[in-house]
Amino acid sequence: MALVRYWNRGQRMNKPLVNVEGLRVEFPSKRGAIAGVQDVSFTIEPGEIVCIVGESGSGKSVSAYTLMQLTKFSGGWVADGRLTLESGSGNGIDLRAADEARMRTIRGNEIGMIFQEPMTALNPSYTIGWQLAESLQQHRDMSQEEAADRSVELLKQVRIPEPERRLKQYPHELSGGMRQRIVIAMALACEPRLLIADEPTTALDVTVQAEILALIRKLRDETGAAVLLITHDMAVVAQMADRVVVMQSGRVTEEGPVEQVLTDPRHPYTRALLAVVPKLGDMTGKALPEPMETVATTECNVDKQLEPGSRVLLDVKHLTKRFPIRGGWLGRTVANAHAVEDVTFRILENETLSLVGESGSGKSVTGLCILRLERPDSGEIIFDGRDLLALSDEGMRLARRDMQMIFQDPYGSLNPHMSLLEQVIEPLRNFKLEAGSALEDRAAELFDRVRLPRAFLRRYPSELSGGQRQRVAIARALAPKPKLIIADEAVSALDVSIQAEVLNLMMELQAEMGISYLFIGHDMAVVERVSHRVAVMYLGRIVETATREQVFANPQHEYTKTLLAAVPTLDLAHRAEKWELATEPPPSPIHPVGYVPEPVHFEKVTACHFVLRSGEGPADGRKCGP
Amino acid sequence: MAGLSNPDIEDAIDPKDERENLRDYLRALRRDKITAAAVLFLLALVAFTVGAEFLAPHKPTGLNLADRMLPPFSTGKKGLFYLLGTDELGRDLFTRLIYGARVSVSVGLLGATLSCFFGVIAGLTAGYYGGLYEDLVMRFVDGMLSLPSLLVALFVLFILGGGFANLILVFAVLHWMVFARMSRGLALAARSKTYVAAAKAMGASGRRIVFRHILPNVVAPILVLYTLEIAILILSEASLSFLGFGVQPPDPSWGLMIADGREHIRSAWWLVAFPGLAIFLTALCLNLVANWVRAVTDPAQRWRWFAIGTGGRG
Repeated sequence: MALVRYWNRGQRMNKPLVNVEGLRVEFPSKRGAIAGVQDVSFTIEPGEIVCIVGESGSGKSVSAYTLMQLTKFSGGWVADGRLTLESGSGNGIDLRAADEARMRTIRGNEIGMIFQEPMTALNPSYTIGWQLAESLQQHRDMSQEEAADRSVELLKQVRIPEPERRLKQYPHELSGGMRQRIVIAMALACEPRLLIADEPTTALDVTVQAEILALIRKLRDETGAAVLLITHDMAVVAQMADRVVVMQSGRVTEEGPVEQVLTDPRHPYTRALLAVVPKLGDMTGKALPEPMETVATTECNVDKQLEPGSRVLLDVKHLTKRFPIRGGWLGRTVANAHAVEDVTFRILENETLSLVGESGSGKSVTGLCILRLERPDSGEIIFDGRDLLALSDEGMRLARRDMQMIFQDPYGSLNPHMSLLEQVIEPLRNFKLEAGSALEDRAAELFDRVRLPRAFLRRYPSELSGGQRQRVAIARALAPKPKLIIADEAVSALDVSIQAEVLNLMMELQAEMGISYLFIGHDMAVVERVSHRVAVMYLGRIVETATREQVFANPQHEYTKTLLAAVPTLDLAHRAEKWELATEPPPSPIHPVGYVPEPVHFEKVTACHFVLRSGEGPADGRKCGP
Repeated sequence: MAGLSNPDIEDAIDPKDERENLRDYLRALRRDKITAAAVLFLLALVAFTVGAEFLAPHKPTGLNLADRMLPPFSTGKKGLFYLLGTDELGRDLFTRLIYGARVSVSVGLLGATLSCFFGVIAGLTAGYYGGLYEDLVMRFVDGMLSLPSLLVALFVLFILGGGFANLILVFAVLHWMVFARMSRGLALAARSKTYVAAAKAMGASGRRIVFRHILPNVVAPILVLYTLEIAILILSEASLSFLGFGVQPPDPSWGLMIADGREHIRSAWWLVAFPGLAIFLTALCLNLVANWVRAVTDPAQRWRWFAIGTGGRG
């Protein structure tokens, strides 16, 4: 099959597979039709990986979705331009004029699609086998047996272990990385000539991201299908692209081979995008956190050194949280998910401690336990001299005045039905800190503080961009003048440039107001920028804790090393091919009732640098990476 | 759109221009012809109900045996015109529909409002707080739902006596559970949303979270159920009045009119058709308008109703 494809490629080597010329897509708005993208032209050669890179709202997804006529489902329409897909016969298919019946034979058949969120792209009510077979039976008229055979073949192709067993499983039984491989297998089912991948790794952990990217490259080599990859991440571009299309505000600003765009960018916007990418190792030899480079006009006002204090603000001892898993007829607890297992750390005044780890490592649950939004099973949390777990519910409510939280998803953490003013004054009102017209004055001050225009106070969250929303979340967290802010993946959902601005704002506020941060994150390059100390979490335990310098210069634990190696870099010499595909499922934190985990034992590397040398978690940790 | 730009630039847009005013709503309504018709119908209904004395062409209880059972659009012996015909006692059907609307619509509205009020409070708090409280409330709901409601209504009305106020009371007691069940489910779903955790972190009390944070986000489906309940209550009133425990004749109500007209359905179809149509249209229009109001008040959705673009098909 692959051979035929290569032969086909040879036949049409000089004809591009996809040709987009002068594309203009319009959307309705209150002020009349507005252009989502305009004057966009690019080509995709057979077997080529083209990356469209840009920030949210740049029109990168719209451009790609138009190829499948998917924009019309969100109200948009093609106002101008030509879209052609090369067909086998030599005549191009006009993708703009094709009717719905024709499009159905193209979608999934000629053009495959990989979505961002593997959980929502799969239907939770059907088995993997059923979903794979569906498109085969639809497009290829296969019988049930043929489809089942082909499905097994496809799962092998995307390197899924035990494919026969997977066919009978449901999506929720698989890990995120596995699910994304299933989505890729589905996209490959009918051997499309073009794969569109819309941020295929954004929702995944870094180590899994490296695997998926390597897989997509391998599949391109094997099947000869061209890939159109949409991403916001320059590092992903560096790992994947043959050619790059840079987009900004609905227009193409630069196009060229990846070597040229990355090493010798012509357009200032491309240079700016490259400049704001936090790079691992930028901070080598520096003892204290430093603000990031930004391109925006908002300068950062950190004059004071971000020196931590000496008083302990938060002291967490032996924190443990398990979630019962119920099953059987009577809903008894059959097992426990050990979310947080014997976690101990301290945060000093004016200090930033970063808690890093992948999804499921228990870092977010730790944050929620400190605020007592989740009730820990055991352990001690001393905040500012008070034992939080001993407080009554009302006492805890009042204690939250000094400890606020910024959540990961600025779309979910703001109430969609409340104006921003109401949301920002919410803590002031609840803690009875201000009343009457003083409330509104304070809200305006806070908006000045996070550099949002005061006029925005009357708006609703849906009228703001992601970065603006996260500023509102920060303003709200600052309102009661807390001593500690728990930032749970506070910048992960933001564009890199906005990310830099938000991080700088957080550091500036620390220098000015002496706030401590518990910074929960997974992006090592960002963590390197902001933290004084770092604690690495894996399967509910802290496996390594040290000052930032020690962790990055001299990582001791196997998992820390993996995490650092998985960070994609802008370096073209280190492409993703070398990544081995993990075939073992990650170890599970779910243990039967009555299971007693091994006691933690830390080995001292140097002063302030400790590594876990016991427990089942890290010792048999995942083997991946170079 | 923000991209690398300075967010301050967007300051230039004055939010006062952005906020929709009455003109925008009217324009959006004019483009949505079906909803506009529904609004007009409901406005007319209210006008007729309030001003029945002035607007009705005849007396609601005025007997006129000479003009019995006239079909719609007929003129009686004394030259009186009957738009929708007359019933077996020669009373004008149109007039009785107008007066009947008073009883039917107010029973429906008040009954649904009361049951919605108690049901939503019980359901939302049960769903949010959970635990023993939830178990108690929801088992009570289950118990209430298993009672044959018509029988209970008859029994209670037999003891208390029929009439308007008692009717509404009985409806509230027998219908709040539907709202409770639904709002409990909604609260359960909302409880795991990040904005609820955020509200808690900001020190909001339980009561504040339930009514200030969760309620506005779950109003939409409750509103739809509310309009359906109004229609159901109008019909329940009909059956109770028919059995003699609701509104007492000769006062008209839509339900009573259907009940009376049933005997003559072969010879005078209009006696059943028009009150039935009135109930149907009222329920439909309430539903349409509720749906529209829900959409245009949703901060994330409403731009669609105010957008000016023509779309690819246009």
